[in-house]
Amino acid sequence: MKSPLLYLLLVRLKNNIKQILRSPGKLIYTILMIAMVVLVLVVGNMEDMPVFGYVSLDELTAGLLAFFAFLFVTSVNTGLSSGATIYKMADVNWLFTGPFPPQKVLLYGLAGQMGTSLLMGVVILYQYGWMGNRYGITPADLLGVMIAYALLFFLSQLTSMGLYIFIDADEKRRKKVKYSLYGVMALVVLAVAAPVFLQGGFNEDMAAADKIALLLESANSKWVEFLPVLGWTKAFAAAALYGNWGIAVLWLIPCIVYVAALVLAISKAKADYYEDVLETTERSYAALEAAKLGRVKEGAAKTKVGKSGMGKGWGASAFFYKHLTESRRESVIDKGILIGTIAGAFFMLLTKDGSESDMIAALIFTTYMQIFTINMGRWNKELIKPYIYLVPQSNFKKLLAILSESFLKQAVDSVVVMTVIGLILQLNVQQILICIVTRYGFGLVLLGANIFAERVLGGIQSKSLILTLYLIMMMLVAVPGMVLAFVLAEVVPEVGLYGGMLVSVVWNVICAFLMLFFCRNVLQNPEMNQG
Amino acid sequence: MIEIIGVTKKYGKVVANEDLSFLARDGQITVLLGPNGAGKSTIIKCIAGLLRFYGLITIDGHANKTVEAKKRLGYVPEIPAVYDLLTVEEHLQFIAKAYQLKDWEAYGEELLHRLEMDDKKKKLGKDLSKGMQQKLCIIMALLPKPRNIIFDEPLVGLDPHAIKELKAILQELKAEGCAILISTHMLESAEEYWDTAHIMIKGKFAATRTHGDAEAVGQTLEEQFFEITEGPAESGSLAGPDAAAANPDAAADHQQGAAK
Repeated sequence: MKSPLLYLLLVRLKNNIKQILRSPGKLIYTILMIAMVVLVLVVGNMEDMPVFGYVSLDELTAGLLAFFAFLFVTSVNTGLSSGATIYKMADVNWLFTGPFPPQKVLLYGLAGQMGTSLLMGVVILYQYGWMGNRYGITPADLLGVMIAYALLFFLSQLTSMGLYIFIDADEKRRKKVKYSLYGVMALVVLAVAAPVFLQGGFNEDMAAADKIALLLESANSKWVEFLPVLGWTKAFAAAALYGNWGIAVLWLIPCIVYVAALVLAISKAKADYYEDVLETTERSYAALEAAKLGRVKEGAAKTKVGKSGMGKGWGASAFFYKHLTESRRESVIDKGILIGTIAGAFFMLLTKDGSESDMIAALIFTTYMQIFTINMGRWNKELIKPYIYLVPQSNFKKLLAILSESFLKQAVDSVVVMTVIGLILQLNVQQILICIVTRYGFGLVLLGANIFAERVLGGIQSKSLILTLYLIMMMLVAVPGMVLAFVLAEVVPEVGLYGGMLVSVVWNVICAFLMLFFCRNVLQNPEMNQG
Repeated sequence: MIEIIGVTKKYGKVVANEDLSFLARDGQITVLLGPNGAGKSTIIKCIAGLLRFYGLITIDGHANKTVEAKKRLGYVPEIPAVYDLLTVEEHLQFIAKAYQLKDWEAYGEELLHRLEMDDKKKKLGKDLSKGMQQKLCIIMALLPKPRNIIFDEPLVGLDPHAIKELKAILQELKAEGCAILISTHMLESAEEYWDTAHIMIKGKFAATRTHGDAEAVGQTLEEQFFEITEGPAESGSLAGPDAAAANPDAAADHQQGAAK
């Protein structure tokens, strides 16, 4: 093999595979992941067509558009702020300083990034169960979605890197690009949603199904497919889902041209891109090393101190007031609450039909969203510093102290989200209060699941593992409470929907308390190997 | 006094600490020396209550994971552990509140001044350099005025002034009767302050020396260290006066303490 860069790529791949085979933990994890994918695909294939038939693929392709848009914007935004890198620190040390043309080094980086992107696409395979059941797609169709997802991830990273290089540390330029990106995306969202508003979308007389149909039609319009990156990948996925692989492949052409153009632009206009990439690679390396030690840096690059001093706190409660100070500095707005509120509001505006089932739909949707958006607070970040173990207070008091901020965040989350939804559904104050308390109950179960995971599995770094655990805990813990509530409401009509919701609250609080009690010794026998 | 009795720490099949027993006496500076991977940091973390282990560790007679023991112990980690979103002065406030300290402000100011951190009071933890973070950790550990202090590589990353001040602080603490245990690679620096040195190899003590012993044979700590680590090994377990000082009854029970 003559090319040293190709040699490097292949040897790294080979050694990665060897490492997985040699490490029992990694091998088991890999086998489990593959087994889960196979299980999902096999079980998904065994399910019969639903009684009312499959839902139109237009819904899925529209959903993919929204999902891809979210991913693209967040990825590029992150890249604009802190830079994206496709290199490791060793690449910077040896390739940047070695006798290699910068263009070849860039292609090497891209080849490595493509591999990472494909691995990210595996996440899509886990969705086959519900996708196959709802839309009747086959594993081959899902492969198309997976490729589209991987492609989007790859193009987002490349776009981030390209933008970062061309912005050239110019703060004004960075802000212009960032706000232009937001502006363009806002226009796209408005353009897609416009037909719904123009044809009376807010009109309660219009059935929810009609509103959704209008939105789907708009999201699947031809003009959307020509949006750079977002539209092309969505079009690829859509063509693959409809079995038009010939058309799907055609949508790869603009993607390839885009990559080539960007590579050419970087290497010609910015041949000396090394310095720009060096900074982001160093930062990325430092963050990775810190994460390995469980030390994740908090706050933005420039955090305002604001009001100084901790104020209250004495003994174990010092941790709670410390957390309040830190949270205030990290972010004024909790993004999880913001996303949950906007998504919930949007969902209700589209689907409400004025019946009592609106409330059930809202609770189910917002609880599902909560799994992804919930902010667990700082309690588990506290576990990776020694002070929680060193401070001379009882372990249970300390545990409650570090959980207190999480309890508070859950309460704020519940109040904000359910008040907005309650207003949209025109509920009275009592009904809104019951909804707030019900959502809080579910939030406590998720918190309990988080603590349980920490106690049983130790410091988990894998987000996919955490999400899987949340889903399992919700099914095992929260769902029985919901079933109990429904049954009670049916058997004792006087209890009614809202009475049933209060029953689920009691159930959830008891379960969360039991989980907390079971995990009360989480501080007693730590194993702080790093740091 | 810090008492370690029959402590063993394993990571799977790897034995990081094997049946260690020793004392860090009041009014003395006890040093743990050894090559990389000898197990120095492991035993330090066991004492601090950050790891599970077999055996017994007491701080002034209290099991190390009890509240009473924690009131008496200060710990300076090898890798600085500061809160990114707290300022330097808020770190001190946090420790003062957590340890329920009264009238700590003057002492806090003194420590900040001595380690040249008084102009950094308003800086956030994440904006400090590694050396400054290390200094802050030292200040946080000393603020409650613990009677027993353990340091894990305290001099790494410090500037010359801070090293000089820390050595002075160590002598002051020693004179006040504190028990000090330090894990370090820096033999030259350790020469200036050690009273007892335990030389560790592969999780066990290869030798124990006192300052008096070293003076008697006219050898520096560094010379003794290399003689032991690069020459023929002495017995693999603790030897010398500290072995007798360990509680023989407690030493017989290897299942006490925070066994896994």
